[in-house]
Amino acid sequence: MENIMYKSKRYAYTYEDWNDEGKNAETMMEEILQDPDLPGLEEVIIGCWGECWDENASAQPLIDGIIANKDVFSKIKSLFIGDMDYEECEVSWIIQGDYSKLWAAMPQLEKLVIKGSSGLDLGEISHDRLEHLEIICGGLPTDIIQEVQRAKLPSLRILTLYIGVEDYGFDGDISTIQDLLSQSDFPKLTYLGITDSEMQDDIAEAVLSSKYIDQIFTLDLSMGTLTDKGGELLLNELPKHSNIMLLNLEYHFLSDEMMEKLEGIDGIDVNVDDQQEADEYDGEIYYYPMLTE
Amino acid sequence: MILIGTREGKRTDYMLKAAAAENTPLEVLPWEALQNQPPWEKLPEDLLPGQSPTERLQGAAVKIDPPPAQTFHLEEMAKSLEAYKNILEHLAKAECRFLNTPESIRLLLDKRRTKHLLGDSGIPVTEIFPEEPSNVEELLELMERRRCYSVFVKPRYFSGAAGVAAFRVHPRRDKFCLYTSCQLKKNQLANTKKLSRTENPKEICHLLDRLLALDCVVERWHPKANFHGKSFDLRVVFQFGHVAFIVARQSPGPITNLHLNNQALPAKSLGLASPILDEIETICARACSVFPGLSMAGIDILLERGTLRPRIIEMNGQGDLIYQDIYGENLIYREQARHLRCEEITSVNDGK
Repeated sequence: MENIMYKSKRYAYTYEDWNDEGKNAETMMEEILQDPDLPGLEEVIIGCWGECWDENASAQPLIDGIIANKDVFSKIKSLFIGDMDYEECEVSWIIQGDYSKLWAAMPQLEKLVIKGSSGLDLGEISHDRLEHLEIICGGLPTDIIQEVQRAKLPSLRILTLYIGVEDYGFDGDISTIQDLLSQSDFPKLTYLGITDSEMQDDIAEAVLSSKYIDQIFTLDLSMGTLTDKGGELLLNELPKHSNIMLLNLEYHFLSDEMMEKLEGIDGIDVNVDDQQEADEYDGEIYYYPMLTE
Repeated sequence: MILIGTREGKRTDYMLKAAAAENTPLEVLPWEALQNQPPWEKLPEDLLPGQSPTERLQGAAVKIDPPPAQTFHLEEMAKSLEAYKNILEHLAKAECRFLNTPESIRLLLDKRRTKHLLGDSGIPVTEIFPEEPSNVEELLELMERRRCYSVFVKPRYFSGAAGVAAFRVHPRRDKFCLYTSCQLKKNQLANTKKLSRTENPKEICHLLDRLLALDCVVERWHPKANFHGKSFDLRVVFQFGHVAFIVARQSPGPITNLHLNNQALPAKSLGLASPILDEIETICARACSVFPGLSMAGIDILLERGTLRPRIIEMNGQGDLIYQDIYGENLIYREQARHLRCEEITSVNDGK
């Protein structure tokens, strides 16, 4: 699933497009609809649609445009809304939209990636074919996590959530993640990514004791504040789960010694790239996840 | 051949190696001596017996490397810079052949003047605003007036990422965001090697007020192209009429500088199409031709996100230290040694 290559096209405005020519989400949707390539596409990636940080210029016209023209988008299997980085817009400033009607409008959808959690509403998620759901943000609100928790996604194989930090929208605690893991029902899940958290050690513990640990092939705990505490848990527990083939810990605060031990786990391909050093201010140690805005 | 440089350091070490490899005699005239012995004409006897620097340099082929950093406090750096500019002015009186003349190096220290000269010559550059805000209120007014809500604030004269800040404001002015490697430490504006990000308005305004007091330029923040999820720009070393080296500087933040531990990538790995590389070379050649006396420049180039159109961000008359080159074949310095040796021979042959 990770390697599926869709026939893809990315739509994004440059500064000149939106600043000089006044383009926005509405004009982008018109341009997508008029694009002769659209009927042949399987994937649509939407980048900067203009003044994405403005509450009056959210992603909603794009989402609504897809819903209103669902027949035109009926071959689209993969959708990414918000593909932009700090060069174009702070992730936490991206104003997303309400996706609650998208599920029914795109029954063929296999993959949905959303960047930005401000203004985001997933609604009641029910979709028979969705295999990949990914939400990238610097802080994922509890109500969104709970929408995922309640989701009816019988085909879901890949779930990646960026948990983020309190200052940028994450208003839960470890029990929020524990509830997600215990109460969700994704029978086909093979890739679990609970990432980019400032409580990554606790998340490692929660995942290791969850029902999914005997089901998944890939465990992704990357981009967070994982230290040797979480590393030790993984080191002790993962060898008991022969189903795990890949452990992604890229961007972490593990010691060299722990990295070496983890890489030595038999039968598991471990990614410990991008080792971080904690910051120290006035005798206090600070650990930061990768995306914290 | 004479290198005005630091007594120790990678630039000096690898220039010496390059000169040796090219059978070019090279003598190092240390900056430390020039800086520590004011007035600069009177150097210690053991360094240059009986000669002033202008006499010592006469007829030689000379490369001027940057002086050693004496402080990481920006306000103090501003004072050191004045001394440096004065020395360059004096060096310009020497009758010798320079790789880059002191005048050209001095001119390129001035970001505003450099950008204007390039822009006036029709060379694509990142947009610099003519306004010179001296505090954050004036900066915000400028941004509002120009409807440009993402800018770079850069000290007009420092090189590298020293004091550079990427500033973004929400049009409603209720959200600010600042990326910078400088911090206020003990009430002094200090340059660090770590890029930080803050959205704290009070902190941002305080820091920007101090920074803008240093004489800054304000440029539009053009979104840079990205590669594997990280934005990058290019450092091109252009010398003797051709591109000698290109390295991509990839960063998880908007400020790309190798001093900030950014990841250096071989330009080839970006897979840039030939027309783009040709355009880069053309732009570099045109840019260097704007500055008489300039044989070599480190040119920072941004490729616009989406279009990959190149624009010059900055030029540096001493921007030739590329680790990927010195730790490899050391081609940049070896070519300089060859050229300077030829010039010296010509000088002797001419009987000058």
